[in-house]
Amino acid sequence: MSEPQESGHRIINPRVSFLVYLALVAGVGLTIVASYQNLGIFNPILAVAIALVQASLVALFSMHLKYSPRVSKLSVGSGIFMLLTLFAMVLLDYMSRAWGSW
Amino acid sequence: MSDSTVIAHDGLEAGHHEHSPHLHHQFESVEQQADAGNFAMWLFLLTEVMFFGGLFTVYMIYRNWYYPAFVAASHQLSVKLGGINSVLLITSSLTMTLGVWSAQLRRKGSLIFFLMLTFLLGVVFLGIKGVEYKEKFEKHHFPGANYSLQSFVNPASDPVAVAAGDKPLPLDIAQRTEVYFSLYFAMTGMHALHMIVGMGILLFMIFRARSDAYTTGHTAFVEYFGLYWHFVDIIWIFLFPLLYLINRH
Repeated sequence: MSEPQESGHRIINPRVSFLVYLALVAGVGLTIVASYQNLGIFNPILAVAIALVQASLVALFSMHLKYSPRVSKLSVGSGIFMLLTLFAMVLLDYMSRAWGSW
Repeated sequence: MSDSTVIAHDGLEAGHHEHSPHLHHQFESVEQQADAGNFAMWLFLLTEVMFFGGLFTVYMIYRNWYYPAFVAASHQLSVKLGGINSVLLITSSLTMTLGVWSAQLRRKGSLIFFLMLTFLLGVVFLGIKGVEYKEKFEKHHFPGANYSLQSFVNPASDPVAVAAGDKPLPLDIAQRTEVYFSLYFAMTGMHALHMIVGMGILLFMIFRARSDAYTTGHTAFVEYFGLYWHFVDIIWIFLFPLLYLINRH
């Protein structure tokens, strides 16, 4: 469709949406299967890694971030950076005090 | 736009291009207006990220402190129901994407169809969540005065704990399962609240879509709502493995 939209945004082909959908459902299956394997320390790491891939797919394609203006991309990037900084600072405080003692 | 009306300018600055009837006067172009709206919606979602980020931080710390309690408590959840809900929510994200696509192509019928499908999937998700909550209340796993440690100090008495192969926990550790369930209800409850708000807006959009509100080129509202709905999906994508799938092997 070449007609310009009021939104000015690119129209995502439903085929892309279906591919993302299949990848997301596969991710749910994968994370369940992985959780029943004994991977030691890598169990939670793998679970979060799969979730991060799923979340990235949703953000980039379903939420059109890939096709969004740079200012939106930069904001999301700095927001995630801020979140990780806060995680790190809080955990640093706890880990340097009484981690695991209760 | 071919079907847009030319707005007469009363001022000194004569527009060189045709104006969309949807263009607000403070913007230069529809592209600028769309970018500003998109940016604003992402800023709002980032405040939501910070809000849920606090809950996830609490989760991380307590999970590390009270790990054996978190394992036993997590085993009380049904992976089957959680998995079904994950697929339902992901499917509702797909139908929402197709709804936005329908609005952009100005297909009223299919827009209403996909919005209603999205709403319906949300209802089923909340229904399943309700079944899960009900079971927790019945087993006295809701934090508070009536909280029961039975499943954790004496797992043999609870078929769910037996199936998961749980060992009896010492009393002081078993008491920490209440921390897990506090977080479980806070996080899934806040997620559900976001869905309920979203479903209210969905109903509003279904109602408005019937009078061509989004199928004459003005699709911004549907697009912004889509961002919100997908965000709620992302939260669940993290909640599911973190709450349901702790040490299942």
